[in-house]
Amino acid sequence: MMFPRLFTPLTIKGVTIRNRIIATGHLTHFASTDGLVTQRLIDYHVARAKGGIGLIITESMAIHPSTAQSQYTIRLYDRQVLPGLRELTSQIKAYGAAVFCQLHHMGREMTSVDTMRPVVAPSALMDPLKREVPHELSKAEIRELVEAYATCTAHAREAGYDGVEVHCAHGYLIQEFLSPLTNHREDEYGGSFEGRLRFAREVIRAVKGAAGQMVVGIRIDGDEFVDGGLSLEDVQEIVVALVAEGLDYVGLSVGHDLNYPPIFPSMDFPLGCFVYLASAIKRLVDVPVYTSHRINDPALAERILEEGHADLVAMTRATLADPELPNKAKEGDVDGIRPCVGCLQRCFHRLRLRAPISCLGNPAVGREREFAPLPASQPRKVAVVGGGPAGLEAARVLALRRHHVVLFEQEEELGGMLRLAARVPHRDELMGIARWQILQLKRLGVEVRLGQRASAKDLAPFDAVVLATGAEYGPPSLVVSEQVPHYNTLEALELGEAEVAGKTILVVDRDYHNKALGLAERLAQMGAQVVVATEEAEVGVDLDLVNKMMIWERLRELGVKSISKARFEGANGEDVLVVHEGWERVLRGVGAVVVVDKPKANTLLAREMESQFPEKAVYLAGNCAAPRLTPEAIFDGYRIALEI
Amino acid sequence: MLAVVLLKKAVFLSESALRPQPVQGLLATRRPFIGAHDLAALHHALSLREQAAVSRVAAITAGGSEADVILCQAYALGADEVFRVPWEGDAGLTDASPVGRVLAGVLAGLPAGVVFCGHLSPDSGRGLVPYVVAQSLGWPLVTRAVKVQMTPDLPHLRIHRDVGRGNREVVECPLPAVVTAVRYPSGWRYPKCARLLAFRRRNVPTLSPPSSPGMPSEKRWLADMEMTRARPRPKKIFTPDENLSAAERMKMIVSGGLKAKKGKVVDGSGADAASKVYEVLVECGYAPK
Ligand SMILES: Cc1cc2nc3c(=O)[nH]c(=O)nc-3n(C[C@H](O)[C@H](O)[C@H](O)COP(=O)(O)O)c2cc1C
Ligand code: SF4
Repeated sequence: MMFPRLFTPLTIKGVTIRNRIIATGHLTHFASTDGLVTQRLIDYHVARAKGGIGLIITESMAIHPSTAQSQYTIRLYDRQVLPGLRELTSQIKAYGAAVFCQLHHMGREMTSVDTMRPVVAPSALMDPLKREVPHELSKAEIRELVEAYATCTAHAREAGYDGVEVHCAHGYLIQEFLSPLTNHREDEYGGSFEGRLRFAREVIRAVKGAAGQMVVGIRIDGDEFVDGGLSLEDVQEIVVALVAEGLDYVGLSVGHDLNYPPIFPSMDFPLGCFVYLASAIKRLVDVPVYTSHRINDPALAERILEEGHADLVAMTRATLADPELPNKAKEGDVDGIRPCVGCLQRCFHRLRLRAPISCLGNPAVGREREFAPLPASQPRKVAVVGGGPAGLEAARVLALRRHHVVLFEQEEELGGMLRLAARVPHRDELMGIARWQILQLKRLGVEVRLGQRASAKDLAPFDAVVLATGAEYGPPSLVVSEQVPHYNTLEALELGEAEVAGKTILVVDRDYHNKALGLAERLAQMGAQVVVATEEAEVGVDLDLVNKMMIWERLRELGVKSISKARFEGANGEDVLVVHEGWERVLRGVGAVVVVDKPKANTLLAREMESQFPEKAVYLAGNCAAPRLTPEAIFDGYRIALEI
Repeated sequence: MLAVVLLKKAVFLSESALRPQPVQGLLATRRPFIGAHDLAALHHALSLREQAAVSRVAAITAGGSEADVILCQAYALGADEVFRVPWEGDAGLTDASPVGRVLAGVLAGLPAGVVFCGHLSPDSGRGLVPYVVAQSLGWPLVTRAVKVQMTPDLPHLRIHRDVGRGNREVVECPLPAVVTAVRYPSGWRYPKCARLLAFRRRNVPTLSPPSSPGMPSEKRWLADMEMTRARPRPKKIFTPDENLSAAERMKMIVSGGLKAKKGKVVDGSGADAASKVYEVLVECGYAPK
């Protein structure tokens, strides 16, 4: 076996976990708006259980009416959820995975939109992200919450869970009590180390009391990464004290409202970069420890186990991206694993949009039933034109369904827009998706014709045609100054160091996602002084919070400046007049302007097909249907391949 | 129920007839002491008493009055009673088998529910006595215990055994039984001064075996409970310095932890490698300008 340690079972208090791969709690938004379990949620987890995962910790569930992450939060305090949960746990267990329940109270790190009650916390300190001032919990309210944890533990037990995990991480209620940054109480629940620990202790005792034979564990941040907050040493002390209360395992995590990005680590974070936190805890305790964050490769997971840093390895988004990862790793089919590239585009970002999660590379997430690629009843000859993410996905799924597929790509290389996207600093991992798709095409025996621009005539012999011809960048949509050279996105990507070093470059964001920021970084790295401007409220207004925070960290170091709500009112040679919220500012010595527009759909071939073969079944996938982002392109390819 | 701990008077290696004498001269005092495994055995017995699984702990040794010093140590560490079985010869080395039989005879006359011994003594290190005792009494023998608990319902002990390479096996053993211990568990016990002084005021009672020791009772079997594999010790892993600011720590992690370690990269042709390296040395102040 390729990964012997990964596939060694582990027994925790009588619960045998068949291998060391686990999915940590992750909110899916698959529950109903009443917080009830849906078939969609069951299908999602069953797919992972079938895929061979050892343990699933289901999403964080509300222990009390004063907490809700969104309207899709499962209300564990309400007995109405129990029949659904029972169904969920029994189906997960039927496929051999163990299942734990995450008990959760968000504390101040939420808004009252969904609960319509005051947000509560140990101290009345405003949450910097959600910007609501919480109500400081009274002692009676604390007692009520402790009881709520016990009640919900009993509910989890009734629902058939193998264990419960008390969420002490991510800056939520329990961490707020633990941390001196958020706990300013002067009673016995604050002040000293023991005082701040009291609430966690009481909760764990209450949970242990109600858990019976169930496993009881915690998830905790290994370091708050905020000066004056909990450091790794503090957390070591806390964990040792809590393990003495009889915990059966400890899970390590990182990130909270004062340091948000690590909760959902993007591709800016190196793989396995927080393993050291688990390692530091594992040295001290006898109970099993799990690590998480950016572990997407079974070889890395095996190494973590081999080096003794943890007993279980969370591969949460990795199994979100490919639920079959454990089975494939067991069989040694490493190339078959669809990678999680840490883009956050369809998991975390969709949570922020209050939409159900999915995955950039795996459109079947959350649609396990409808999107099962069943073999076609009548295999047909299908041409796919365009080897970008949409075309590759269409070709892959069509071939999987046993259609005869020929893929045309006018360039000498596959990958399309993903190849360009990966050229921006820190985005190279994106190409991992295309690489995986290309590999699958090879395995499935898809005929790929590189360097061949397909004409309508070439497509005539096929039963169906999928056009994934992408989009193009035209001339910049804005001229700031006639005397200064202007570039579109593609041209800007081709600029070399000699052309940009020492110049002031104005990057205008009319794409509103990551491209302007990515180009700004690339140009700044080559020695340009970069100003990014946008007519919107901020640059990259549609980019998710984590990616935006991470890129700005680097842009700040590179001295990149930004102007939001900018109007270009005139120019005098290289001096550009910008108006921002009533202020006028002259940007002097602008040597070049990059206008990052949305691309235009390339519909040439589609129109040709329509005029020459109006009867032919022609489908448009990705940017050639309407210019959007990579996840939508892949989704189109998958959806269309199911329709044929 | 009584837990009995059999202690051996250990002496430094230079006393051993079977071992070379590497530290002779250095260790001239030759003061008897309790070996590490015997201490572990005593610890297990005392911890069973703390769990209220046994009511008293008795420590027994075989030897002349010079062996009382280790009984004194056992008493100071918390044993309720101490006894010496008079023995003229070398209780651990050449006489292991007869000593074992005599001790078994003594034990047969006590209400002992469990007998603990060290797995090996530091001097002779043959570990024969517990085998002989168990065989003579017809009791089950569980070796290499690292953790001992009483099961809640039955008069059984749940024993975690060290089966090598860090692996652990858990067995359940019916009582009475003989258990050998290998490792001192965490949580050191210290001798109590008051008990040391109290010991001086006592005479160590001696016990003699009956002339014909009883026959082995009916056979009892161990129940295998589980086998756990060794938990590997974590290897050293890059951990940012706690003294750095939070932002610095995070920066190190995001940059792959190598930021602080990354050396300067000098590129260019092989021909000017030497001069380029020299420039770097000058820049860093390692070489004169
Ligand atoms: C969509 C999504 C929802 C999440 N919800 C939770 C949650 O409910 N509870 C929790 O402890 N962590 C939550 N997390 C964090 C994950 O458990 C995990 O720590 C994170 O994704 C990093 O691990 P990974 O790189 O293995 O995915 C969530 C992550 C994602 C992407
Ligand atoms: S959307 Fe991106 S980050 Fe989320 S699971 Fe899929 S690949 Fe990973």
